[in-house]
Amino acid sequence: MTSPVQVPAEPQVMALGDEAVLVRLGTSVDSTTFSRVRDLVHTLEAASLPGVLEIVPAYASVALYMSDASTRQAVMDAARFLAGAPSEAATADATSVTTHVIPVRYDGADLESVAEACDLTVSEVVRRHSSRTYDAFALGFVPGFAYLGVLDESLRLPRRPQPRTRVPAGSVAIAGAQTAIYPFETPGGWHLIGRTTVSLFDASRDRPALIAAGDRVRFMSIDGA
Amino acid sequence: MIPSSHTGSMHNATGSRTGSTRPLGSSAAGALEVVSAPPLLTIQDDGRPTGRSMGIPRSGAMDPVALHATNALVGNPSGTAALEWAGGGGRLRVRRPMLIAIGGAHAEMTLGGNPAPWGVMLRARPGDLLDISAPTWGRWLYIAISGGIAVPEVLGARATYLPARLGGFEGRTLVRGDLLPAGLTNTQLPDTRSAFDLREAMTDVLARQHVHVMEAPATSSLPSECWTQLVARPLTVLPESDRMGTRLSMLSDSNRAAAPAPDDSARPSEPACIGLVQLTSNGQPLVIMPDGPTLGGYPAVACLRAGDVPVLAQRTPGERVRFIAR
Repeated sequence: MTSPVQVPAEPQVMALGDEAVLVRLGTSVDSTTFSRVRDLVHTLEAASLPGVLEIVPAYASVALYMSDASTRQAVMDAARFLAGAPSEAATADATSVTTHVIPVRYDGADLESVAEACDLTVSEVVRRHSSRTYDAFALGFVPGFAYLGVLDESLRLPRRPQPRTRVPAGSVAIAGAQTAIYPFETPGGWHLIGRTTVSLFDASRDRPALIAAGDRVRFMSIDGA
Repeated sequence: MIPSSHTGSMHNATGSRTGSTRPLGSSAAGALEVVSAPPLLTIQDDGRPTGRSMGIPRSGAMDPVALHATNALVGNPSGTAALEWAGGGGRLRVRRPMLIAIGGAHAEMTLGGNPAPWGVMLRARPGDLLDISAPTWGRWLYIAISGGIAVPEVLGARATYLPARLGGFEGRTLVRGDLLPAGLTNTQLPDTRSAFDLREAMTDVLARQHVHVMEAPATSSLPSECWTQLVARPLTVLPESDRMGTRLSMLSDSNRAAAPAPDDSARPSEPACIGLVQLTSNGQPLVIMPDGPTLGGYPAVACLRAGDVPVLAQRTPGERVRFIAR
């Protein structure tokens, strides 16, 4: 799978073990590919294929998980058909996509070093981070952790060489072309630029994860302690 | 192997049979007490059927064959919550009459001072102590009790997912002094023949030295000599293996060549599954286990057949296992 980036690439439908199917729509992290992923999720959800427990998008692919191996071939066939010909009716129009606005106090431990590394002022880092609408490409790492992108080119830094053993819950961070909010106190190697009091994950809620893959996220700078 | 009590009356063990209309999930609080715990003692069941889209792994028993068998031996539905025991020895105190079955890994065990056989239904009385040594064969030992461990369901399961403190007993490993509630269910005990088959199934998991693998999304990008190595040579289970992943040693230049550079951010992560074999940046295969990540960033070069995940789980560090392409 070393093919160069092509838009639109021919969808690849593959077995992901005995009980799941992977549909790969591309090999790059970008909003164009992800909008096709979002559309495919809508198409697959509308098709409600028998035996499918869960549909999970991530960046440039979509996985379908089944309860057992018996339906895999049928799901692969259906996914191949649906991925090849997404119906226009299933295309997600912009108004149907949830957008979350996250208030952020931009006072992260790495904010100044990020500004320095990017050759920007702190306020310019804040302005650039909070002036975009991000796609939630995928959830992973820990429950409720949404990978958001893409970040302004001028803010892209490699991960910290030495990950922190403890990143506080609610930390807003950046790394590479992505930004994220840590739902729990966990280890982490991203640069901390701010924090929010919004609860990203709560198992007692109807929807435990605040942000779902496919949603959009904006950050809003707030002042005060 | 089957104690005489196997065919005896169930009245004492399950409480009042006439009370069988009591709802499933009502519980006897403090049915089982942890007197001393091994390093990793958690409540596990079949895990969460959904949740990956929120980044929640399935969790659940590392060896579902043993979970199902021990539950069946005490008359529970196969996916009922039980104790998963690993890493050392410990002691439990029985506080209510109950049926117990111990399976999966083998260990030295006594119940009420008498040797407690593996893989059979045992009748326990209030005050009985259940002593279990560190596992002597296999890695994950299961203790099922009649009615199951009646902790609340969280997101569709009672399984413990330690990294997010979800499910189980307050989302954590069990420690000295914890009192575990037992559920009340109608008991449907297996006949002698079925009990024999259940032990056979558990023993097969412990004894097998090979697992079957199939191709995975990145198999075709793997140099052919690397795939050949993966399926031709026995691999050694490394000590860093845990509920999240099993690490295997397979160091060779062709692996390293196939492995991604440490900061290969150009390749987007893709959804993963339990049993997926990823080639990490140091060239070692890392197999995703029940608590493992829902997304994989490393090339997925193979995947265990679904039924063979428990075989790998039960291999102790230093043991070898062979991948067979099928």
